[in-house]
Amino acid sequence: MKVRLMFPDHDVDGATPEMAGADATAADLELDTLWDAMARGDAFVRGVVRATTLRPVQDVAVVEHRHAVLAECRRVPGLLDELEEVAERAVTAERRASSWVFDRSASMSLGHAVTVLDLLLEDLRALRAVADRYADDVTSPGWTALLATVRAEIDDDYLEVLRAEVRHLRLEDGVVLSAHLSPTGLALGLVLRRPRPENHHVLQRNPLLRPTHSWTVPERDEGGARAFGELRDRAILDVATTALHAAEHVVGFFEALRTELAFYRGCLTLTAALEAAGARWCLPTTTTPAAGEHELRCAGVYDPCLVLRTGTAAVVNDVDLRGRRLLVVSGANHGGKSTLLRALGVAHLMAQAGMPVAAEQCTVALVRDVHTHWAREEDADLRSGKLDEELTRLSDIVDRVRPGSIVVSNESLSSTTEDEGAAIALEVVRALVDCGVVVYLVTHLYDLSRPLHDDATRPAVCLRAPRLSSTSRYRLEPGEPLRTSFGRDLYDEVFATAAPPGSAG
Amino acid sequence: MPVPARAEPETDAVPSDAVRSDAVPSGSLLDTTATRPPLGEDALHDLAIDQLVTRLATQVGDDLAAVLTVPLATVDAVRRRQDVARALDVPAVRAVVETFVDAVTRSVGQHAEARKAYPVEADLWRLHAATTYLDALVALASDLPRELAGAGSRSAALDEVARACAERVDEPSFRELYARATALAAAVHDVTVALWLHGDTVTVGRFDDEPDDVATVREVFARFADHGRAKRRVAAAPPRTSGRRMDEVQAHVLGMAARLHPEVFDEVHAFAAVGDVVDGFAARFVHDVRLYLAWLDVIAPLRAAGLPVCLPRVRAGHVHTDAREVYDVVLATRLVDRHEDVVTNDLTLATTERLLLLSGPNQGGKTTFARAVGQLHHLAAVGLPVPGRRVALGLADQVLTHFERPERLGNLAGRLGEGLHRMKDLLGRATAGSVVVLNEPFSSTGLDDARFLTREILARARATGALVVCVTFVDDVAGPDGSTVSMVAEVDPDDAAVRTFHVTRRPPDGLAYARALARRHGLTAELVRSRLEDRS
Repeated sequence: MKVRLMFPDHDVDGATPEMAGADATAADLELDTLWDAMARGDAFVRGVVRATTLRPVQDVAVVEHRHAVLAECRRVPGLLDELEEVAERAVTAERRASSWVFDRSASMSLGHAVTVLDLLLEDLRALRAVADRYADDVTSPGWTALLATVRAEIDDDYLEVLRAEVRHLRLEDGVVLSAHLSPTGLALGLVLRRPRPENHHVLQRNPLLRPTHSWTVPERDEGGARAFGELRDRAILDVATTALHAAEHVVGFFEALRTELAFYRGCLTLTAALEAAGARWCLPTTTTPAAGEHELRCAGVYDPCLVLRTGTAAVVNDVDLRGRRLLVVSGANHGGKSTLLRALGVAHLMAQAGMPVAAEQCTVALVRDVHTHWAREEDADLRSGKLDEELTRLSDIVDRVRPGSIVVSNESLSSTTEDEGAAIALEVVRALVDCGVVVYLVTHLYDLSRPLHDDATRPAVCLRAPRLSSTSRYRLEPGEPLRTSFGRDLYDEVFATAAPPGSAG
Repeated sequence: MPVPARAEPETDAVPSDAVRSDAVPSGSLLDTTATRPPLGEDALHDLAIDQLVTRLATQVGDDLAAVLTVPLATVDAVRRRQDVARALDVPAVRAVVETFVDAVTRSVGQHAEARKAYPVEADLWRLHAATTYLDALVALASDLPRELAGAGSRSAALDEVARACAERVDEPSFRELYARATALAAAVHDVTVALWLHGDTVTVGRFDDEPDDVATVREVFARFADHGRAKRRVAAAPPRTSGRRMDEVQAHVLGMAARLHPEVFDEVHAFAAVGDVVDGFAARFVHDVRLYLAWLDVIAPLRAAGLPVCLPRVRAGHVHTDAREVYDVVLATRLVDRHEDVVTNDLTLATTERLLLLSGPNQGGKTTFARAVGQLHHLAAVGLPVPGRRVALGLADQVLTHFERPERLGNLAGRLGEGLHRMKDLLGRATAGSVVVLNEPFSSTGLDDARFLTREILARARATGALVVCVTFVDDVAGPDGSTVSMVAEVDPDDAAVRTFHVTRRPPDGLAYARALARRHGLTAELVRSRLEDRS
């Protein structure tokens, strides 16, 4: 029985690994802010949205499947709420049974499993009722399939079989088993058996084929009583484990359901928070890129984490990367360059999680994964040590990327002199682009941005941060790199001074 | 002090006919008639052979382990054992033999179990003991000749065992016994009963092919089966012993099963009267071969650590001694255990070179080497594989040792006196065929005394004609003739510190440095391209 709200053909699979370098990407893009906002204190929801964000799907159909389910969550209020309630109660069956004791003997285990199964039987009935109630209200493939599955698989006949089975597992009529003999006469290969009705005789409880012999443990024979108990425990060991697993499987189904519901709960919470801040969002159009091609068209894109942190709408940008694998952003410090870089990185990951995207409009080609390389300012190490650290991280990224990966680089290699850093970065960026990797790059290194801009064989989109005096602060415009950095502007602003007579070398 | 004449080289110190034996019992791999007196108490301890014996005793018992202390008297006897060891060292031969040893050991244990068993159970133990042995013997009869032939090394003793096996399994009485036991075991195996446990009562009947209940439960819940959990709980199994040993309840179940299946259990009872079926030659073989297997186990970790082990070329009389990569087997075992390196040494002595003086700094490995040479000669004489590569040496009639024992007596005079008495006794026993290992004799006395005493003792020792190894700090005791060889333990000036920090000049040009650093990280254009090339 599948949930299939996240994928058209299977459930969320705990075995799928996170994308390579997920931790660094999450830290550099400040994704904690996003996940905290989506979770709103619910650790389970946070875990699900985090896991989903870091496993970008590689199939447009999956993204569209999620979009349709999400749209229906907004359209049919109550459905998500009611299912969440059933699933959350069901996953606590274990705790509610409160029959789990320290003695995990087969008898105790079986007794516990039967109690849990009894409780789960009620939860399955409740799930069926919700499915019955909403079956006619849904149209999306995800919801339609789930509710239909529940109604078909947990029909009245099946509920009756379950009830009878749980009752049988109480083994109130004794234990029937088969055994064969070891070479030295031990009873081995014990298999629990269901007696044949035809061996039952009227007014006799003995369920075996006649003739039979019987022996009763003498009273006060403690050794005999213990041996008898052990034989019984060995006989029911398999069925006890099977019953435990059955309970776990049923709980597992509810957990899978709860997991997939949590994703949509997180998305609904997110859109509500963005709307409350006056920010726009959209369900993006995702495309499958041709080999070596890349596409990103965004109108009004912004960094959702900034909005979620400040609670107010942010400066938005338009970006159009069609047929280009290289974005170079140059210009003034504090000119909104890093923010744009984050906005784009986050947009890619959210789009490929099937989430809404923080933009007015967005068309984006699927990428393999997103790698980030941020200058780490905190390493106040020796110069060589710091360059070494940066190069180590960069080399790790080269180990992980494949054609179709994105590398988002924020002021990389600024820990060395300009000419050194630019020379190394230029080689790496060109090689990456040549190998089919997409590079989004923010740099103040003119010796890096200028050659990239002028390189006709590797066409780039170049954006430039405006001077601070410009009216559209933080909004970036297309423009070729300029030699002057805008540090002086910032200096002037921060120190509120008139321009000093001599400029810094 | 006149130097006594040396013994004649190339003379067999012992007349070989005095110890020749040809009455080897069938199945025996340890000819215990052609032997010398066992290693003396001192040598046992000084060469640490006692530690090896203790270790072997835990596996094969004291009596068999004691074989390690007894040198063989003839080269023939040594070669017979070496042939066995060589064959057993072939994995396929060893596997066949170990399987048989294991089975016979189990069979003996199973037969013993019958004595403390419940009635029907006792019959089954006897049947089981018989089938275990009979199966193993049939397997050995077919596998051993094949593997011996494939091993490419001949062992008369093992060939004889193989022949005895083949003859036994071909006897009509054996074939009848085997068929009967096999059929009965199969019949017991085929018995299936149904049990009903209710209250304190167990009811037993014939199995009526009742359906598997667990399968039914599994099927009912199958539709949830995709939703497993990584951590699946299991009901705790009953105590480990439960079901492994017969108890009162199972004995009653077995008794009732026997009443339900008299056609099987009456026959089993009749068979049980046959008694123990293990053949004498097989018991003898299993007993003896365990010593070889245990010794191969002792040296296995050494070989795994890359240390050489070989079967030495042993000849009678005074011969050229040549041994590569010799080491102290007891110390090496400890070092390998701790993953530390073992130092090996080469030993080469011409036929006429009969005195080896070992000198050098303390902790330089002198004593270890002396002990290794003593062990080498003794173990070679026992006929087992020895530590070293390409070892050729003379068969020693005995290894005698004299190691300083500071713990023995309190005052210096007493200690010196005791040491001299031991020395006198030792020299009295040494023959031209002996190996004598002296470790820093008289080191507790003054240098003048020590020099005098060492010279005297060495002269006497040489007079016996024995091969003498002497560790000494007295460095001017060597005689002028060509019979003395000196070896010095060196201290390696380089130690193990082979780590080299290349110090290269770094040009002041930062770009070159940064580029070099980038290259080291594989971050030049070509390197990045080549790293990405084969991914798609």
